[in-house]
Amino acid sequence: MTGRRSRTRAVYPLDEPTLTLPREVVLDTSFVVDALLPGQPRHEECRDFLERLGEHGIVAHFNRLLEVELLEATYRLVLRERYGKDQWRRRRLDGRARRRASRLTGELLDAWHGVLSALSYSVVELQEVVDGIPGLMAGYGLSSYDAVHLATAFRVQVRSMVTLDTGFATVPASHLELFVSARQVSRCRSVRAGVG
Amino acid sequence: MTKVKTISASEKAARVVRSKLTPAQKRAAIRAATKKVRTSARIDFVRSVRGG
Repeated sequence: MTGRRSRTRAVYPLDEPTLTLPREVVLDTSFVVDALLPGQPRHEECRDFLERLGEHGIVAHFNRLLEVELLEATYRLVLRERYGKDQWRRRRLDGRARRRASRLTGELLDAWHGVLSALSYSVVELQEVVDGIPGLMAGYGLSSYDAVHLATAFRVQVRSMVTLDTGFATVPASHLELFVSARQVSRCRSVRAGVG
Repeated sequence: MTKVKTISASEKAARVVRSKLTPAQKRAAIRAATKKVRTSARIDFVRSVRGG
């Protein structure tokens, strides 16, 4: 491990203005959700990083699963909006939220396509990586969803992941560098200090 | 650990969809797109959707 990587554990804050951007990154859904939704706590940090990716022509790779996860996040957001944080899980089948969910998912996909118009990007399909998922889950203790995004990075041979999911810190720094919210840097580096 | 089959550099390059916008237009497009969706709720994506 080189000196800089040893100190940083290959974990970098999104809001660091002097950060040298990689030429290619893999986007995780957790980052895109906060970038797209103005009400999210880390919206500005994520939106600004997205703008930097666009401006500098950085190639953003993502798995098709990202778009499916965006839909699920939107549906759950609508349930929370209507029923509050204590009730929403029990109201999944309540039809009264569906019209709003339908409209909001449409708006979110429009926003995502607007973002894509400003990025250089490529999509990796789920079936391209699915065979590698069990090994990555077993190897790093990742959830299956996280393993899909990591497998996507391996598929396109890109070692930079933009994410708000600290679960990726279990992947060694030699395999994956992480661009995370400034408030997550310390936690990710601590995790990596234990897994090297 | 199961290895993920990689794609070649040429295949990867061929897949990339490149934006035709100027840097200023890209910034404006992203700024506009990320203002579109208004909700009164927030979501912790990792905890709520991924169960992390």
